[in-house]
Amino acid sequence: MPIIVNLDVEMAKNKISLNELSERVGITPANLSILKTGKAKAIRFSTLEAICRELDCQPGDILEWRAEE
Amino acid sequence: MRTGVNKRGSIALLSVLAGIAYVYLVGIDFINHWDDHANSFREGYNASARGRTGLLPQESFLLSLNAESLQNYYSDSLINLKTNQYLPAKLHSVDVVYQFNEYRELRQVLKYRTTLYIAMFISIILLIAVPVYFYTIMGAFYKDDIFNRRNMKRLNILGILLIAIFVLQLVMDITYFHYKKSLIEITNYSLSIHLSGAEWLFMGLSTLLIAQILKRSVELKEEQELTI
Repeated sequence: MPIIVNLDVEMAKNKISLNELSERVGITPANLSILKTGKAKAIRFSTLEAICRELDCQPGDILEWRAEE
Repeated sequence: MRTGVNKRGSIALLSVLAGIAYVYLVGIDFINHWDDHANSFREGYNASARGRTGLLPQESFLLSLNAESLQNYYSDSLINLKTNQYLPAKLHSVDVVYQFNEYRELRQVLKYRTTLYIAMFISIILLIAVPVYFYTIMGAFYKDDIFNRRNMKRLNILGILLIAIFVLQLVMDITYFHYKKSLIEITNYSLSIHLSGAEWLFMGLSTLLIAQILKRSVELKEEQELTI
């Protein structure tokens, strides 16, 4: 998929674990893991907003578009 | 708002009604032509008795007839007992009894009979498999286990089974026609092929269509589940 999720990078920058972030964002660790590993098909604005708020970043820091090879 | 119990009740009721409709569909021919079937048992018994005594068997055939020419369309007649007049008549189908005279004839029609028996045997298996698959799917629906790939596969198989029944019916109709044609030729009429079973094809294609819709639903559900 040409949309790359850089959630792990932002999590590392903020030194926050998956469990902690999932608790703060209000989604299950399993769902956050799906998002982190790029298996998600879509992301809700509300989820994106909560992640950006907790990681103090922009949506573009988490999501990146790359042309398909 | 309908409760889960109501929805389950509807599924159970419709499943039972579908089962009754299936028995009706399979058994309607027996009900309509019960005398034919009763006679077939009698003839089968007689044929085995004749076989034991070394006599060649008889076989009854249902002939579907087409008029050979439109000028001579009403080539037969029936008596109207009310007026004692002859009514010109055209026969559409008639039961006849054919007496085999030589073993050579029996050998010649062996290929037709074998094809008919094999097709009939497979048809019976498929006719049993159809309700088994149907009730497996309905059982899953009843348990609210609806949108998954397993049910989609089952529906696909059910559709294929229904189409297979149609194909076998077609094979039997064509074989039976050639079987009769190899033995019988009559005046004023030509034998016509009696095709049946279009309802199986319709049901099969409808089931495959529903399976495709279920496939799309499963994809949407998976997408929904992967929306974080």
